[in-house]
Amino acid sequence: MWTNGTERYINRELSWLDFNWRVLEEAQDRSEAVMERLKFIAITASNLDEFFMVRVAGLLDQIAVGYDKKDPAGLSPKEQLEKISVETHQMMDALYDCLVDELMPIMEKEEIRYLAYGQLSSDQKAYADGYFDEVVFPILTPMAIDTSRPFPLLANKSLNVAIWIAHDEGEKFAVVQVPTVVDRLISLPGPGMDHIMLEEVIKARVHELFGGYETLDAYAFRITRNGDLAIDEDEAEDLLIEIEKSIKMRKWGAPVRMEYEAAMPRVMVKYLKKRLDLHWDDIYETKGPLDPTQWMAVSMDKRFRHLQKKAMKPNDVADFIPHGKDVFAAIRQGDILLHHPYDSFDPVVRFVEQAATDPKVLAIKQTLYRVSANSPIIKALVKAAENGKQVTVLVELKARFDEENNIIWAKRLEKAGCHVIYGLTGLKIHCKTILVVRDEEDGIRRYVHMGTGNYNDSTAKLYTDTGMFTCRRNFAADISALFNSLTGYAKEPNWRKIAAAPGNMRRTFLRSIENETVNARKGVPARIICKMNSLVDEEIIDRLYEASQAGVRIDLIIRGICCLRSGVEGLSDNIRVYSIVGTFLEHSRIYYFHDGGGGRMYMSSADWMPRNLDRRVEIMFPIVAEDLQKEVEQILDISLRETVKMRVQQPNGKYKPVMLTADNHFNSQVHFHERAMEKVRKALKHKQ
Amino acid sequence: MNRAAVIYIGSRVLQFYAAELTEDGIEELEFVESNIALGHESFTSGRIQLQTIEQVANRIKDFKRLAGDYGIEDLQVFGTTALREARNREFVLDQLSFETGLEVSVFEDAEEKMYFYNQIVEIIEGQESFAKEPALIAYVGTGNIGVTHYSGEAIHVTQNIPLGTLRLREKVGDSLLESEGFASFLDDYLDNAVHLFKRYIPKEKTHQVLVAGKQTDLLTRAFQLDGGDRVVSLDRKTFEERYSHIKASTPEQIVAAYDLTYREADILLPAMAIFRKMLQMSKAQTLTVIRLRFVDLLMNRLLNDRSHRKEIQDFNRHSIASARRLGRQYNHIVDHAQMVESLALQIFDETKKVHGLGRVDRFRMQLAAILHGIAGFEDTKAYHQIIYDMLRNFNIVGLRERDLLIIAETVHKFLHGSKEDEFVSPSVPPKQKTRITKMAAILLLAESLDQSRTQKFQDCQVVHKKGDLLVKAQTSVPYELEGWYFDRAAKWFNEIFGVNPKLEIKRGYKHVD
Repeated sequence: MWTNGTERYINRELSWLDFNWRVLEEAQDRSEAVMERLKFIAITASNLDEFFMVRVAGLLDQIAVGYDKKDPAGLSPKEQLEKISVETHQMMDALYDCLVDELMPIMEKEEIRYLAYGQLSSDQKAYADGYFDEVVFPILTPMAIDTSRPFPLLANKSLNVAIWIAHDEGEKFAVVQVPTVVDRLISLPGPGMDHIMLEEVIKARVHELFGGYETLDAYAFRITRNGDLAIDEDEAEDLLIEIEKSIKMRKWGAPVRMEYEAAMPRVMVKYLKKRLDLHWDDIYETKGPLDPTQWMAVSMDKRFRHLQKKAMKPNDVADFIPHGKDVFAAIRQGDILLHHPYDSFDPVVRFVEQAATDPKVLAIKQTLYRVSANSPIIKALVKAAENGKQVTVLVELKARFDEENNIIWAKRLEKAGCHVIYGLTGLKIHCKTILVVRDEEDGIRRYVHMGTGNYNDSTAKLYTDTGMFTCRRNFAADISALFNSLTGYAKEPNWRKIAAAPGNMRRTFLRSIENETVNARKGVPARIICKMNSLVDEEIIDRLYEASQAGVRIDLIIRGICCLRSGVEGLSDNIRVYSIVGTFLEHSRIYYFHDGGGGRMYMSSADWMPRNLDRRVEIMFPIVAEDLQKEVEQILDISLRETVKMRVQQPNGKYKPVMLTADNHFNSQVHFHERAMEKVRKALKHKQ
Repeated sequence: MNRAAVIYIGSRVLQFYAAELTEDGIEELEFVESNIALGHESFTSGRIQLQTIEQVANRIKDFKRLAGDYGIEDLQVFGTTALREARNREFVLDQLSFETGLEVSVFEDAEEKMYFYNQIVEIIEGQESFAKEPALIAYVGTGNIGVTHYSGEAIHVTQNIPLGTLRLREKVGDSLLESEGFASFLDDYLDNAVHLFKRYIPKEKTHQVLVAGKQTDLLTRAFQLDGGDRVVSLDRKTFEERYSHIKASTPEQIVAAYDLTYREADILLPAMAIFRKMLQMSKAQTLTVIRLRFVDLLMNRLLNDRSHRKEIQDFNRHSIASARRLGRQYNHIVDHAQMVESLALQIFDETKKVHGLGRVDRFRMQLAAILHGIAGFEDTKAYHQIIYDMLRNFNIVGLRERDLLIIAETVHKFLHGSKEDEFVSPSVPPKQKTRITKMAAILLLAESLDQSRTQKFQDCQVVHKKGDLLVKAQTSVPYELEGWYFDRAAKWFNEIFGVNPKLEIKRGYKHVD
């Protein structure tokens, strides 16, 4: 069945949708706190937004230009879109079923209500009206459509109210965009915690915008547009300016999806469909409030703490405890592994902060892909430049959907005197590394941090990632060479310890897999355990199939897309694919190869995807210290012991949860958190 | 500060090297290499384009910044073949200096090679794995090849062939490079280039071939000789097999088989042809590759001044050996040259406080003494001009253009005596004119004592005492000719140094007025 080449692989879009189903399952998990479930509703919706803006938009573009080539799973773009539409409609229905039928009633029991205008008490109505008159009305822009006024351009992900208005001369269509500059959720006065959504108030008062007209109908709808930036980097003289231009254009990409509230009359839906040039497949009826991403803010609202899951806060890092605030002293004692968010991200921030003020530090170099809005790392880099350090920052302006943010702080860094470099033509700089050059008593010493996740102190509390501090010469020389290569000073060097994409990383992975295959054929124990976000790359999948057939036992912990089909007789009997979707977003990338017993292990910023291996600058770094190697083995082992949040891929590509019994409940994220706490306790005790 | 950075402007690459001196020696902080097309332009059109100059200047500015990462403010820039040979060299240097604020020192070919040869000889003489036996040494650069023969004691013959791998590639062009006959063309071309040099190589006695230079990296990478060791080797049989394979392969096949870039694949065959020629001139069964970077040698010069000075002094013996061989080749009278050399050095050392000349002058004067009597051919017209031209154009290992100029001018002035107050070349620096005159005066005084070329004096001793320079010696034969010449030379010597040379001869023989 798989030998004809079409079913060796799972379609990446459908595999991604499978992942998003797993996210939605977290919202459906009745054992979880209601606000935790609500958070996953928001994540599912937010994921879908991005999926439509990028992946669906991409397939539509392919169809538009007549590209009909089948993907490795044997599906043409049109076939993929058809399947996607079926899946996403089911997913949206399931999402709203969960939200409207399960979560909102639970919240209602807790006196948290989201009301329609007609449900408001007279006091609440008066409050909502007053809010409308004073705050909302002045910023609304009604747009009527007739022969002289064409259908307006509605911004991407904007919420709008569609209105039929009538006059003596006949009926007209009009649109009002729900403003984004004011909160969408309006808290209402009253004994409980009642709210109304902004669009509900606008719908109720919309007639006041069209004086002389009768308002017949008003319903909310939301559109999603193609959000991929199209930049001709070769022609771009100034990448920063080009990207600024493209961000403006993103708002106006072709529509790819419309969501509308269920009560909207069919004729209005048809009108919008025609005006937005969409197919029925791209249109989604929702039985609850549009844009579920808004529930993220609600899920984190401090007023609802009693309904939230008990937070697992990051712990201090045991290795740093004996050294107080001196990060460099700790690193000099040996390599340090960080496992976020169980280990706090603070040492990474402190690393840059200490470097910024340490008189012995001569230079700091760092890559930045996505950072938090008020990043302490950016502040520290600015301070370092002001303190006369040589600061080089490689900013990836093309980090999707973060371009605008990146431009703002890139300019700030430049203003402070940092040497800012805006990526490379044709390649995204995705690797995460910092280099600090320090002039010490016995000469120059270079300190390095390499990680699997972004230098983002906010997401570091929510994503699982790993990182390593070291001052080993070979690593420092490699990272120094990496910066020299990225800043255009030099060609790609022969790496001493690390491997880099698009240079030798693919080759290193392929050789490592082949090595296990050869060993298995010789009867030498062979094993591969890898943890990543996505596995898409055909060449790597094929080598894994070969390895499986040679007898290599392969465990893959892949949170998201996996185009490899596991457990298929004769093809991938020895491969197991697991996916963990839990409180924290699994994001670390760890690659373990048994290597005849020696155990070769790497961490990387890269997934096994062509984009990572061929079109991005990534690094993979080996773990060489014995104690750290043991720790990495344990991370993988603990991850594989997961039962509560783990799903196992079936040969048909679908995922099934692990059958839970009375005594096999094991939540790896909870375990990692407790383990990190225990380490800190021991370190503190030892210090005393 | 015990930290330094150098920028090396090569033909194909621009290198930045920062290092610091620690208890364990020189430790690398940063090494960066960046491609440039200087050699291509310099070797083909003879001129370096403005755009390329700008590229180089921008990269140097980047490197300046990089040096700042290590707190190094003072960095030095060196260039070699491509800059040296560019017709617009002065303009290039001026532009680079203007754009970057850094002065570029351009090494002469001989100077560049001296650094390499010195290190290689040090390795031969310092490592047990090498026999202190004759060896053929080649430095293969992108712009030229230097070949030398080490006798077991010193380098005594050397030749520069303006034919590095890149130059060869640029010279022959793509059509010949792609043709099947390219390997045979290379073979003949190289044969032709080394045919004179070959004459002085005792092939049967030479069992070692050592190669160094930029192109050796290519070899070690292509054949995975990369153990990180400074010295790696490849046996002759394997080398021949690989050569045959590469000769029969297209650049595309070489790229695939040896994991090289197309640019590297293009020059692999010329590089191997050069190495092969070295093997053919010897009985060596192994090709030894010495992995040396020019920047390492430059860094040693910057950070390790004492060791660098010692290296230079050590290297002088090779220049002297090379000069002696040339003297023999060009018919000087060996015993006469030796006597003049010995006496000149004694006079020089004894009058150090008077003449104020330095170590380098002594060395140059020594070479002038060795070579002052060459070209003793019959029927030679314009002898002085011939000897001058020969001295200016000799290939003496370790000697730069300016060394040869000063030696030639010294010999020329010596031949003309005090009557002639002019210099042959208008490019003699004013500061050097006095030095040349002083060295010629010493040489003239020394040479006067063997005018008859029969070494009449034995046990010569020179003593500087109370304004007199006493030359004490023994003889059993009449020495009127020498006495007459000595008096003439002494007069000039006295005019220059204010010291009065006197001859004191023992055993009863007396100078007759």
